[in-house]
Amino acid sequence: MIYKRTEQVEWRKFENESLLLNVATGTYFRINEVGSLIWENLDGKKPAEELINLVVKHFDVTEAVARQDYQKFIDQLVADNLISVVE
Amino acid sequence: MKRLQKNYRILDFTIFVTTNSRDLIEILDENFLYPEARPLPAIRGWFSLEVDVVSNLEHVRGLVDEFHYSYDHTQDALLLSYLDGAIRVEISYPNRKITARVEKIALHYRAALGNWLLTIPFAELVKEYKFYFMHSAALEKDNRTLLLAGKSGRGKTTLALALLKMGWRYISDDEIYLYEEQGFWARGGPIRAKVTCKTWEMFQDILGEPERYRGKRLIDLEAAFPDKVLERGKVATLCIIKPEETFRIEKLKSIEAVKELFSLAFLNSHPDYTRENFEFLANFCYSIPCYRLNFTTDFEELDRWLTEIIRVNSGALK
Repeated sequence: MIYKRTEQVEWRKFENESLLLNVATGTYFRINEVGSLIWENLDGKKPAEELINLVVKHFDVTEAVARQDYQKFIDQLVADNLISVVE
Repeated sequence: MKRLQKNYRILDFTIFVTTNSRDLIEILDENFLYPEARPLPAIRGWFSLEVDVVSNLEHVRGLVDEFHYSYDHTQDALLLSYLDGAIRVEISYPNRKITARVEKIALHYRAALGNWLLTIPFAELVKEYKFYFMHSAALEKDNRTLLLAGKSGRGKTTLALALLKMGWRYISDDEIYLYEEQGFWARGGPIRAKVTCKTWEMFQDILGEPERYRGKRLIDLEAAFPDKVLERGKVATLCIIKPEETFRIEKLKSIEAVKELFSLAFLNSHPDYTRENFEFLANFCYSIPCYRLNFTTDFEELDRWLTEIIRVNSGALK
């Protein structure tokens, strides 16, 4: 599936980490550098495989670990209404 | 009953108040004494506050710390409710109008009324003018301003008075409005400080015998320290403060500072203002060095550290 960031989220990258604010609820989330890399690339164009490969390329992890981390992160973002499915 | 009218001046704004209650005017007077800029700047804008005091409830069921708020998209208004609905406030952004209904029984909560009828609505409405509220003290030395941010009870007033005693100049001990103009500036909140008896005893030598006020001491800082009260200052450093047994100061990452400051600024309201406020806070924490400061009552040591910190960080971007 391909996801994109929803309009109700405002975000800012600080060095390697990012802070996301859901402007509808006022809740905010601090994400680490792996999450930041995925978040920055949730542009509604890149499929999951491409994002998982990005994580493998930038961090010292196996594809299996990257896939697991990616899915867990995406599930959290969907649950908090920070991203939506494009296709 | 004939409605009472009174105007208040805050920063460069006027608030036109109308109410059916003389008691309410008295309460607003207690909570509302801001320094006037010298020379007085032109009025930038105005807001209106209409308050009806009603008598429907005989007691308040809500908890003092409990409040609710929500943004009404259809009316473009922020709705606030406090003390189980005994204080209800509607802030209309397009009309720049604050409408409130206050149960008579809630008039006992005098400081809360100041917050819910004036501070919070005003902080919301001035976002249109790019002023952003922060729960913080502000002190100045050598043209460098230090912010001491923290929730109530963390020692903002104590540190403000301690530094005032050490020769710093006073901008605020509790509320500031930040804005950007070739750097970040802080403008002061009320110049009248309410201090606990314990704090007053610590600084009795400089405060003398101020007026007693409901278990506290009421100090008109401008009258007490005529040459040491400033209207605004350019921010060099921010410290998030906490009283502790041992002194400790540590630099915060920008992201940590933003997180810590979220709760000290009003963020979640009109979605556009929420975005702008977030952006402002993020820029602020990226540009201004932020520290976590655990302080003791060794104010001389504190003065030395803070003087050095603002000197090192003077006007510098990180």
